[in-house]
Amino acid sequence: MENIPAPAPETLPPSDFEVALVSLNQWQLAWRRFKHHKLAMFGGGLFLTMVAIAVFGPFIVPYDPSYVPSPVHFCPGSATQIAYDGCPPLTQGHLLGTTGSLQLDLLTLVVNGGRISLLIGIGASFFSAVIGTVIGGLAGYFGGWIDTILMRFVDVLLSMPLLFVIIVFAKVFGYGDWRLIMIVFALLGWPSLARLVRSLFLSLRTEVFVDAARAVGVSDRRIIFRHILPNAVSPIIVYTTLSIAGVIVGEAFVDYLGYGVDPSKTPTWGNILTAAQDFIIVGNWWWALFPGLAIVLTVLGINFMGDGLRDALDPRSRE
Amino acid sequence: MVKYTIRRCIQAIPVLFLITIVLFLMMHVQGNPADRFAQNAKVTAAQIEAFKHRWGLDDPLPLQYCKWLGVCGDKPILINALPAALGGGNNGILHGDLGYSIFDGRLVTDVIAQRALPTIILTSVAYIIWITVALLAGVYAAVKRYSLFDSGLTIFNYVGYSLPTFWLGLMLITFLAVPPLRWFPASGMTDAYTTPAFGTDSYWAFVASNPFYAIFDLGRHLVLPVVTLVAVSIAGDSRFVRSSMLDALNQDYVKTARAKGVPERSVILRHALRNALLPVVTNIGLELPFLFSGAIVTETIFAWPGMGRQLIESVGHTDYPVLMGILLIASVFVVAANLLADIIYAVVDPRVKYD
Amino acid sequence: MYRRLFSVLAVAALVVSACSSSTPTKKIVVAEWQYPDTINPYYAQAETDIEVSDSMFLSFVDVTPDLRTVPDLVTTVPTLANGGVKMNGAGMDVTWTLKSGMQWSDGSAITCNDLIGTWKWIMDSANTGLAGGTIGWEDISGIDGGTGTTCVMHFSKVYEGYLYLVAPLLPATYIQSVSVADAPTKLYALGNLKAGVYDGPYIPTDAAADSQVTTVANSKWSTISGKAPGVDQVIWKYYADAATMLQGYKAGEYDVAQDLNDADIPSLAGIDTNQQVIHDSLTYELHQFNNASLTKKFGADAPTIIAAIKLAVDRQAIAAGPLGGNVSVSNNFISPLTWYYKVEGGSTAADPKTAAANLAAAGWVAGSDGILAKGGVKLELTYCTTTRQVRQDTLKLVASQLKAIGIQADVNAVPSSDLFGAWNDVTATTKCNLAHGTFDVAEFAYVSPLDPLGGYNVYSSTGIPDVAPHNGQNTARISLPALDKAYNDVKNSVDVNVVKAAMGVVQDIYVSAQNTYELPLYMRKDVWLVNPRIHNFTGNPTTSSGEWNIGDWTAD
Repeated sequence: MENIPAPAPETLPPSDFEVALVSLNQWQLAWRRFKHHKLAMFGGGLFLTMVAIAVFGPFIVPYDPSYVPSPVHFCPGSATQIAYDGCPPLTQGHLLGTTGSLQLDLLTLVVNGGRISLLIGIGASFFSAVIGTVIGGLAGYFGGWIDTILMRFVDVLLSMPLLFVIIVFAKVFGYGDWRLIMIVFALLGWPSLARLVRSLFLSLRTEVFVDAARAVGVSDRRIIFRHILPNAVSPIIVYTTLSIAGVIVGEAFVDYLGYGVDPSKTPTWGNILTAAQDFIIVGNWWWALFPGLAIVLTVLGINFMGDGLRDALDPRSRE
Repeated sequence: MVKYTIRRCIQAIPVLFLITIVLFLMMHVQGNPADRFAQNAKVTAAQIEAFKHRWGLDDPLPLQYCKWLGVCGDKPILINALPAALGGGNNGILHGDLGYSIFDGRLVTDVIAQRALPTIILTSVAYIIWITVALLAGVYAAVKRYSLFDSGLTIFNYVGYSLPTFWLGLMLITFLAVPPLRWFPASGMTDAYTTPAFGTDSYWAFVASNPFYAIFDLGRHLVLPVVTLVAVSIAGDSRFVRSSMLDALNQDYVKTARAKGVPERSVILRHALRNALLPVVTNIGLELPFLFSGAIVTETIFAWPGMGRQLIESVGHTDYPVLMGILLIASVFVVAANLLADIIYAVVDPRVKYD
Repeated sequence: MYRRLFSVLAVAALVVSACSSSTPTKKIVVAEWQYPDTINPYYAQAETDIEVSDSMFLSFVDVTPDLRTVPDLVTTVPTLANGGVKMNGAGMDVTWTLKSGMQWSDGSAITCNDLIGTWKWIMDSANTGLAGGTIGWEDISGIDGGTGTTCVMHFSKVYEGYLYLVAPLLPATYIQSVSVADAPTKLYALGNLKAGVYDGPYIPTDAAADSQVTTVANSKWSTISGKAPGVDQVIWKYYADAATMLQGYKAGEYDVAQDLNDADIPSLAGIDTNQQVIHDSLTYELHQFNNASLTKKFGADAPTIIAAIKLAVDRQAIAAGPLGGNVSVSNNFISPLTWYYKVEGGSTAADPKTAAANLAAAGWVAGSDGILAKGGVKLELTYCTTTRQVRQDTLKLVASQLKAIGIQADVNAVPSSDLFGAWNDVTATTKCNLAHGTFDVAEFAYVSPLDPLGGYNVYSSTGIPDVAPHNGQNTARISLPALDKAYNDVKNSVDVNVVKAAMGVVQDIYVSAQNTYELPLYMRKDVWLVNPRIHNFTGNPTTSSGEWNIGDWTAD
């Protein structure tokens, strides 16, 4: 046998329909599904808008956040509105109005506050995701006494009253720095995620493909990183996204109780809201409304987006 | 199964101990009951030392914890842990003694008992209401997916979830409790002019003699705090019920039942709902600890004399005995609830395997 | 059928409620927002404790709203002038003449034995937790009088504060019924108030934590005051904070609102002005400069810098801004109502230009960031205060004013327990602690002392807390010989003329350039809300607050 011709190159013969079949990977499929979920797209857009405002806003607003104006008695353009109570939205120079007491511009405050609130939310969620995945993964994969010890430890942490832990941290490490609050929320958030990851790993570990990999002799490390983790990552992403919302609301709660971010140093949506509540009684509705609205919109956006992510990333999606 | 249950119960005990140790350490780190004499020049250092000695605060930390447990005390260590009748001591939680409040001198058990009842009344009423509504709304939304009700519920839930409790409470008071619309009282548990304080002996005497009015008064005062709690909490549960129900409705056995011609109502209630309820029930169980200490902000806004506020105050006063008492009970609740949830899950779901 | 039953029940409930819900005329409800931790005034740390216990206990003398001392349990106020006080060698003898025929709430007679019992109880070494310590009582060498009503207190050395020492008188038989070591938990225990013995117009029957304290009229009070209490019951209702308390007032849930101050005045909008009782308080807000840390940072320039800051801070703007114009700026720490007040001059206007000029003359030059620097040292200060919103707003404004002349103020709001924590209860590195001096400038409030000696531990060099046993109050760390001498004169004399002259010297120093320790901001105000159906309410700037004449209140 001499000169057997080489096999033909791998192109499909042209067919009547001229359809090119494209193979999509897992992420591209997910994105497609996500795009179709209208509410999720809306939520994602909302969230990204808030992030954009937080990132670029402080450069655009007319006032410096530490600037305190000389107090005036009446609001500009009015002969009856007492400035101490705060000036309503659309007064001269203040799109969202001013706060009571110090008569600061509310737009500047909310935009700058957004930066810190979102940083705390995203940072805390990210760090707790990392820690939770590591610990939960170890517990779920290796099982046995590692699992028992780690999960009992997680149990202990989950039983701690949130408020108490925050107060202790504040007293020991110093009060009011937003980075500390972020660390506190990260440390409080990982146990729940660890539980979730552990059960994921537990169920994935018994899947057939893992047994097969082990039979072939793949090392533990490879199994975890190349086989199990990619399948577990979707619920982790969804959980982390949703926890951003939880951290933002939690931070507002902690501000109300007086143990949150120090408002004289950095504004956050939560501590602006807390300062505003005493002035609701004199009719200042805007000071409490706008940071509250910011929180609600961000949380809404995150939750819609998270729902969409969950539906999109879950291969057994109900769509 | 039984072995698993027993094993988990036994494991829960060291978890509890560990929790109390960690809480004890954290508590001492964050302050000292003698702080209350801080701004007072007239109190000499000698008096502060005497104060600390009287409350056992000058003992080394491990000894303080040991005494609190009841393992150390008047009798020799470990012997003290035995019941008094057998020659042991009578201090510490092993003997049911939670100590006295450093702040106002009352028995810790009295403090907790007096404060727990209002909280339990508030939270259990709210709990029952929001679970019922969450179940009904979640199931309906799942069955009528993508309907107006479903979308409306989604939006309502998210808004409710992200509303700060204190803001909502304040809004309710401002609009419904003060003139012009004085529909409900602004705060407290009872009307000070007509009813004795809740929980006192004269209150129970009053209830015995005017039961209708007493219940009516309490009910009126419950409305606004319960609405606040329900609005914020309903979101999580109804979402969960909805997604759990959707999961169940998409299962093969539902398709089979439909194919077999089972009436739709029966499919929903007898087949899907039963299976959907399992994760819901365990989730609801995990929320039980909330009954004891979960309504802190609501209690503060509405001046409800409950457990949540007591916790904050004890922290502020660094009242060690009361703090440890409350934290202990709260932790027991949490551990018990987790245990219950795990056991229920294992019992009811035959698919779950444990090694 | 069930529906009908339900509606019948509902109607019945409404009928019953309508019958029972009309306001009885013989009750007054007072609202507070801090539940008492004790009603024993000797253990009371908080003002709100004293407000409640003032209706249950009486002292030898009372202080009126215009700060006159009037007799309460005694017939006359003993002074050096009227012979009630006699010097006796190094010490003095004070004669208290109790009114005759007075009875405790259990019917037993009030005699000098109660005074002796109170003294012994306080001096008992097993007594822990006394808020006032044993100051004054420890100088008593003996008390005569027995079961009579003329008591002579023998002091081994002159104690200038003798008038307000016995506040209140405790019943000897009752306090001896409980061992002193158990007194904090068993004497006048909040769980069993009925067992206690009182002499005030109203006596407590029960207390529900964080909710309500119920007091009823004391029938024996007429043996002391000559008249019956104004109403049958006074009920104390507790809210969680001032905002909800105000909403409660608008909702008609009580008659008298207590414990409000100037920061709450704007929230009173919508409430009739004739229901608002606003008086100047004895409390004043101040900035305290830590001389030790400032000297350490800036060396010999510290006084210049402090003087410049005092000039640059626009106190009028503070009063107009965060305080909404509801307070008046003050230059003196003594209240104009006190008998030893000396009118001082001085301006309350700010002068940042002079301040900037003075700093420039001292060699401070602005760097590229606008902050003054000299010799590599930046003009940066740590400002500390509590988390009260008004204080945070004030410091934010001050920081802005100081930045305008090149001083960088780093504002920190910390919990009260950090700021006021005692020496041993916080670490040496806790930020913003007055006792340890980990601050540069602190904002908080002092009570302008009714008793001239009240400032001794604060301004005298013997009060510097860095020296063991670390309980001095001179957290500004000042040491001025002239001030020390003036305060020693006050301490060692009961002659009102000597005391008044010495306090005059103290006030002169305070208003002069020698004062590098305090910048007074404003005098605060006490605010009460009173339902028009209540009569005879006057308010009072002392710790007794509105309750000083609670026996005289009546209700329509």
